Amino acid sequence: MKYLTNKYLGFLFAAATLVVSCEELDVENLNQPDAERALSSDSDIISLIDGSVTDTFYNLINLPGAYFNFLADQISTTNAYLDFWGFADQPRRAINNSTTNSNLYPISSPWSVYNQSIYNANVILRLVNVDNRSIMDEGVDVTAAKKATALFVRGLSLGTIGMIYDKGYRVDENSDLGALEFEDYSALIGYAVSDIGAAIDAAPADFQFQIYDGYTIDRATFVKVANSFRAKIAMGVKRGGAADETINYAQVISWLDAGITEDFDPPASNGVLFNNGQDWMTYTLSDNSGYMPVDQKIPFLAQGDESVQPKDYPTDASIILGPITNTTDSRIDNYFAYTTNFGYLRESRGRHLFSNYRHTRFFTGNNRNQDGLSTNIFSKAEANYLKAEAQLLSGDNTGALATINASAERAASGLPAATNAAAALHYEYSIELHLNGTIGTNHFFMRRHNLLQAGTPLHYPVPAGELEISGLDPYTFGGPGGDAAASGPGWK
Amino acid sequence: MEIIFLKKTLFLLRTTTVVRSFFMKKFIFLLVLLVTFGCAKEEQWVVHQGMIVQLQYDPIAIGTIDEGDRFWLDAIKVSHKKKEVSATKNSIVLPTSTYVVTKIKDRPFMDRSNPIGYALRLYNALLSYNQAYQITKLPLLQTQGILTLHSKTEQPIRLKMPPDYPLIVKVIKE
Repeated sequence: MKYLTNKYLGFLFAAATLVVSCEELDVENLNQPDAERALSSDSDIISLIDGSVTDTFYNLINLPGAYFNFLADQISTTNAYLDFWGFADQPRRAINNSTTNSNLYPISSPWSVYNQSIYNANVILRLVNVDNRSIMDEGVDVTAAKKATALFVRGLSLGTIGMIYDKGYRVDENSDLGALEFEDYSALIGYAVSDIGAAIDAAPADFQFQIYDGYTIDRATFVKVANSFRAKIAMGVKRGGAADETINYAQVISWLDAGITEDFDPPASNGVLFNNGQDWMTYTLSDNSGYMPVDQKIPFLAQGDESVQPKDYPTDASIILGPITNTTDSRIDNYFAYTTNFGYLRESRGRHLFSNYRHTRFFTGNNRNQDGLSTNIFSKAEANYLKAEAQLLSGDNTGALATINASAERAASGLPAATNAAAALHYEYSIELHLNGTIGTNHFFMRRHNLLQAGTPLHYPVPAGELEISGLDPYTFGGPGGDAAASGPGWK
Repeated sequence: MEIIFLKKTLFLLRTTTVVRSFFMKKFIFLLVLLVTFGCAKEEQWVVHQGMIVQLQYDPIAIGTIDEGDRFWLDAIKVSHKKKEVSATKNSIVLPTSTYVVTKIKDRPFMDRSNPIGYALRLYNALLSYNQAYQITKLPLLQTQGILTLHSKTEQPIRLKMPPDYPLIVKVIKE
């Protein structure tokens, strides 16, 4: 017994010694690894910028878009998770831009993801423009193609920051990172538009623009997409804020005329690129109510009679509104569905936020992350409406109406021809462009026309965490009478 | 009864040479197994040390970060989880490259991490270790995702990580 006991004790001791020694098998790397490992090979460089294209498009259709749809009264909720309710609540609340707010995600996520894309683009642009390095792909020089790609990624990302925030950093391949200063949204958008133009110029004749591995578009299509995006971003400067909001509408119209001629709608690729914003916003509960239901604004606009479909849901608990009854617009029944169930909506948080409608357009069995589904990044309808808006804002009301009425979805809707361009555009954005486009599409349109309800923030402040890092005092926007808040009454 | 039987069996084991030999072989076999696979399975660690170090997540390889991946910053274990990102004493938990934001009726909703986001999360978590570290060059953090750490003690900062962990470490001052 003693013999065996000693044996096993010995074995245990040996095992323990080995386990401990394994922990000490560290490789002292005192030679310092190559901090530029990420840039060591051309394939890495290509992988970095191609991956950034996918990430940038993914982020344009990701969850943060839902918050702008709350602010634009396109969807509703009383769910406080991730501060959803904070963006849907009425009267509007100021954005809780504090480092003590554990739900800074909606503010901080876009900031970091687009700055990351800008960083990635600058890595390539520094190599190409500063270090004069060529990028080879299996013996083929792809320097010009990757430069064009990087410029587009930087322009699109910086433009999105300019549309979302009041200010940000403009970093390029030559920037002195120790001397960065915030620049206002107007300046950021100016740089962004310039970058996208440079991307078009840099794209070689045989350019293949990779959206993700397995899906590319040719140069002609890329140019159309780039023109459409620079028009959209240029229009994003107008918001009733403090910066110079001058827009050259003739230029915007010329870009749109050279823009997309059909929907830019790369098919989803599971786990790679899919419309995660739609995935959240179309989620339907087992009682057929929406997790983030359609805001009452849409029944109000569709019905056109406030006594039947009021602007806000009745606070009298005995009233349940009926379905929309008075519309010739065939899209209403195709895009939305009526239910008397309220799902997660909680009366204690405001019955005026309730809704009887959920989404059926883009609903695919509670899963948008499937190969081949639509991603709805930039529709031809949106391009048409941007053009009509630019015409309207430049004084061409007749042209605006013609553009709206010629737009395919509007023309096929069953609605009579529009006679009021501004009202028709608001309606089309609310119905046709609902969940159909990139982050902030409806909010950005509404702020251009002072259609946001009173107190809605016109844009986001720089996230509190970033301000703290910069040693700056926190600030915020929105709330009735708050800074950069819509003056109202807006669409209401 | 059972105890008596066990004692008898052990007595036989101890006294039978054949049996002793059998157990000796088994013991050696187990020891060899332990030596061969025990350490082979255990990862090697790359170690960086310096009074000033810069950390930056590799934007190319960041997609490889999965549940359980980890590194050590001195005594602080920085690990990754698909959900429940948190920080406790000497432990920082970051999300994996693709992580679960929430579940609605067992349906997970996912999002993705990015290098600047990781650096900002690390920055925030390390604020509570301000007696050990000073964080400088903040514009690099915000625009490049580079976290610059200075040791505030006399000991160098020691980073220990698996060789394939996608964190680029640059020792600025040894």
